Amino acid sequence: MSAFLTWSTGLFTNPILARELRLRSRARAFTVVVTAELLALAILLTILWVTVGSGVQRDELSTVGALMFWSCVGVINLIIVLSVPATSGQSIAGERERDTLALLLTSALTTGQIIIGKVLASVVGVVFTILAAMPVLAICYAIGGVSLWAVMISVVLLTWTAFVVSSVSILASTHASTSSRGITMAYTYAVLTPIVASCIPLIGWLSYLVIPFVAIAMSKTQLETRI
Amino acid sequence: MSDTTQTAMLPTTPFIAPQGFPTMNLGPALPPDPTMAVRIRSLTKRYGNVMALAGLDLDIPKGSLFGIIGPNGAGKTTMLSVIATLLLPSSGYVEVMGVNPVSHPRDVRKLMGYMPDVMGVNERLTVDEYLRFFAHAYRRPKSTWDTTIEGLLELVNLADKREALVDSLSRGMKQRLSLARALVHEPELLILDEPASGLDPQARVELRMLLHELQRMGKTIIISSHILAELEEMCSHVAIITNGRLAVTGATSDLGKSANGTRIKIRLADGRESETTVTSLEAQRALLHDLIVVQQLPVVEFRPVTEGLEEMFMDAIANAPGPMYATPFAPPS
Repeated sequence: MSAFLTWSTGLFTNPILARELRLRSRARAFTVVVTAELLALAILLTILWVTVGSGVQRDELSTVGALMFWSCVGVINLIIVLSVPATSGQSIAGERERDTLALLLTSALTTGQIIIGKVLASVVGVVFTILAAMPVLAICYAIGGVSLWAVMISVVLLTWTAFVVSSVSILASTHASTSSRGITMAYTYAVLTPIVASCIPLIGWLSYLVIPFVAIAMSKTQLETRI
Repeated sequence: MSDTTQTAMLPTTPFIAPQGFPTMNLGPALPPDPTMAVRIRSLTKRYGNVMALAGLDLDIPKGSLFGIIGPNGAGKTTMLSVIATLLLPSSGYVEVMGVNPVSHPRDVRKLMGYMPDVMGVNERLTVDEYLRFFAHAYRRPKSTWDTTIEGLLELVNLADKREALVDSLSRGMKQRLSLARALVHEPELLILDEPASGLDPQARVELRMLLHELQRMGKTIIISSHILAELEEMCSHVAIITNGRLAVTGATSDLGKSANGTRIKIRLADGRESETTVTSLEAQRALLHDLIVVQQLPVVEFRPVTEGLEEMFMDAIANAPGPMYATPFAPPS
């Protein structure tokens, strides 16, 4: 138990995570993504309410609430899949491009700590965008048709999606020498991942549980062999 | 008398690892030598068919300011990258402060600070945040960060820029910040790859003074540069590398003295001139005694002929064998 506590504390005291979050908070991209997300959700809810929700009987409201909720979750999922490769795809490639990767690799940090710090920073960034959308999801919940469990599970699934996309994007980034190439490769990997996952015999979509860990291990190996 | 050695150009063909051969240290561990900071034996590094390092041997004494000189593509950066644990050699043996960087890279990283030829500090962080990040990355105790950073910024004369964004600093300031970063974990060895490139004359003078100050503090400093005059003036030892091999190494004060001894120029009052090589100071005295007392010649000049670093560098390039390829008769495409 104490070993797990030490390990999990180590994850969140990772210097890469602290630096990445500081840099992300100063970048305009985060504000743009959150603003775009809230605008998209507001427009979606307005359209759904006007086209489906207006004039429905009180007992049919739960159907409208469920439709609005799952539509919002779908949009947030789409935003995650579209935005995470753009930021995570340049994480290692950007360090390489700015000639800062050698500085990290000659520090006391292990390649594993560098990769995990980058992945965690990306996931924490997505968690903030999910939290920003919580008031909108709360409106859908208030309309009805959605259980608290459904809300919690959807938040967990969205976070896991972010974890999967971040880890494969960072794997792509370890193979690239420039940020633009890293981003292109990250989108390719993000598109290919569900196709490959669905083709894996026996486990199929369950492979989503394993993919991030495999991607992190492969990124670590790649970083050790290619500077 | 002289510890300068003019090495024979690759007397034997070094072991060349086949393509795809796992990288490892093939040489045996050397007997311990506490006076040496870095010891390199038969080091090779190949990129495809090209041998960037082709059997390099080098000793870098502790406490020295050691200059590495060589033309572009000589293998300087490759050698420094191997010492800095960034590259694995194809074969050979390397030891940094008694530690093998191939088998114990993390131990070596604690002992050395590395400043690459490109600055790599363009981030939206303040100077203070930048140094704090590296203090954290080097696992320095948090309680020491403030005093360490304050001391380093005083040392590199950036104390008034502590809250400035790194991006806003001039090139010379960024170079000094990069040096402060390399010192954040108080390493014994500093590896500086072309630290003066792109700096204006004033920044170069400041950097030179800073390096002398660090040497006085007991650090071993390895510095690669193209500016020969600066290295000659600044470094206590130098090594010239050409085509991945060592051409010349030794103390700067002994430069120009051949392996066989010191070249002496003799001029007589009637204008006749001659040059001869003597092996020791005693031999010099004996020669002078012989000329003046025994032969009673009118000697008006009797002085050692010293060759500058620039002349030695040009000689080394002129005498260097061609680049080595892993596969004979197969130059890179």
